[in-house]
Amino acid sequence: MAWYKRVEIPIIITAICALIQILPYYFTLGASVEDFQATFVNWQMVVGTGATFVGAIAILQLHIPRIMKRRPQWEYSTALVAMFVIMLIFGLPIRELGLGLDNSVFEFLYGNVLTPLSSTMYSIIAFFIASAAYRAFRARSLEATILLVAGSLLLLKNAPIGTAVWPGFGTIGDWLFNVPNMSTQRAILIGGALGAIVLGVRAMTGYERGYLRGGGE
Amino acid sequence: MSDFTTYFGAFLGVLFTLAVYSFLYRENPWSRLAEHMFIGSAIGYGIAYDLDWMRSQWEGRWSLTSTGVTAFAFALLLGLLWYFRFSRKYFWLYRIPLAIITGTGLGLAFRTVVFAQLLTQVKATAGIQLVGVDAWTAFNNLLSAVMVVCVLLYFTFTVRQTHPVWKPINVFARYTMMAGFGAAYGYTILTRMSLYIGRCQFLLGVPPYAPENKTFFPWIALLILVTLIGYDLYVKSRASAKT
Repeated sequence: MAWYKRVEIPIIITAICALIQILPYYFTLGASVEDFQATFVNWQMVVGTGATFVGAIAILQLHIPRIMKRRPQWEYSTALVAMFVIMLIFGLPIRELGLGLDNSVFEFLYGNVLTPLSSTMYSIIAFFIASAAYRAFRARSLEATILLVAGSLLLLKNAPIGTAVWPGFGTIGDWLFNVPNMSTQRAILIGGALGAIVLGVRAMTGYERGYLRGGGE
Repeated sequence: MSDFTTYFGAFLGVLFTLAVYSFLYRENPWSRLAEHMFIGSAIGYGIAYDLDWMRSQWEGRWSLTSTGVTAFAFALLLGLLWYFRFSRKYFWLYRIPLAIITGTGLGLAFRTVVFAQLLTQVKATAGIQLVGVDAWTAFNNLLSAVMVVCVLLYFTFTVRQTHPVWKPINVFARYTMMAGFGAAYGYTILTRMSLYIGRCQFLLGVPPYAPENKTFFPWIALLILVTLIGYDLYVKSRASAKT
C-alpha cells in the first residue's frame, strides 16, 4: 500500500488536532497559541460543515432509484425528495434573491410541516414508553419491584392527581429523585468520563481505529 | 399573514400531527407519508441551516483577511474530501477530514469531560456536608455518597469480585440503580406526556396555537379515520383474494 494511504496518517492528524486543543488548556503557552486554538476550532467546523451533503446523498441514493424504477412505495420517496428539494431551494443562503432562513416559504414549511411533525414524533414516544413499561415492569424479583415502585412513585409525584390524593407522594418522589437517582446518575457520569478519557487516549495513540474503518477494508 | 396562509398552515399542521398519531393504530399510508415528509424536510432544513452558517462565517470572519480567505478555501477543499466516503478507491481521502473532526472533538472533550463530568462529580461526592445541617439532610448526604461509591464499585471489572465483602456492596448498588432508573423512567414518561398534552392543545387551538386548528381537527380526524378503515378493508380483501 502507498505510504499516503496508510491509516497511520489520519491517526497522527487526530493526535495533532487533539493536542492543539488540550495543550493551551492545561499549560500557559501565551495568547497567540490560545488565539490559534480558538481559530482552529472555528476552522474545523467549516471542514465539518463540508459533510453537510453526505447524509443527504446517502438518503437520495436509496430513494431516487426507488422512484426511477417504480419500486413499491415509490410515492412516499417522491414526497421525501420533493420536500427535501423545496426546503433546500427556499433555504439556500442567497439573500440577494430573497432566499434563506428568512424566506417566507421556508418559514411556512418550517412552522407548519417540520415543527408539528418533529413535536408529534417526540410526543408519540410517550405511548411506546408506557407500553414497554407495561410489559417490562413486572414485580418478578426484588430489583424489579424497586424499579416498578420507584417509577410509579415518581409518576404520582409529577402527575397532579398524585399529590392531590396524598401530598406525601411529593416528598417521597423528591427523595427518590434527589438521592438514589442523583447518586446513580453521578456514578454513571464518573464512569462515562473515565471511559471517554480512556477512549480518547486510545484514539490518539492509534490503539482505537474503529472510526477510520470502511471503504472495503 | 394572509387568511389563506393561516388556514393552509393550520390544515397542514393538524394533518401531519394526526398522520403521525395514526401510527398508534398500525402502520398506514398516512403515517408513512408523515415519516417521509419529516425526513425530507428535516434534511432540507439541516442543509439550509449549515449553508447559512457557512455564509455567515465567510462574511463575518474569514473574508476579512487574506490569510482567512486561504484558510477558508483550504477548509472547503478538505470539506470536499468527505465525499470520497462513497468511493472505494479513494476512501483513504475521506479519513483526513474525519481525523481533523475526531481529533478536535477529542481535544475539546478532554477539556470539558475531565472537569465537568469527572472532577466536579468526584468533588461533589467526596465533599458531603454532615455538620451544620439537620439530621435528615446529613443522612441523605451520607447515603448518597455511599450509593455513588457502591455503584462505581459494582462496575469495577478489573478486580475479581470473589471476596464476601463484594456481595452486600453489589446488592446495595443494584437496589440503588433500580430505584434511580425507576425514578428516571417516571420523570421521562411525564416529560413525554407533557409533550403529548402540548400536541393536544395544538389540535384544540389552545393559545398560543392558532385557533384555526380547532376547525380542521374534527374534519381531518374523520378523514383519516375513514381512509384508515377503507385501507384496512382493501388490504384484507386483497389478502383474501390471494388465498
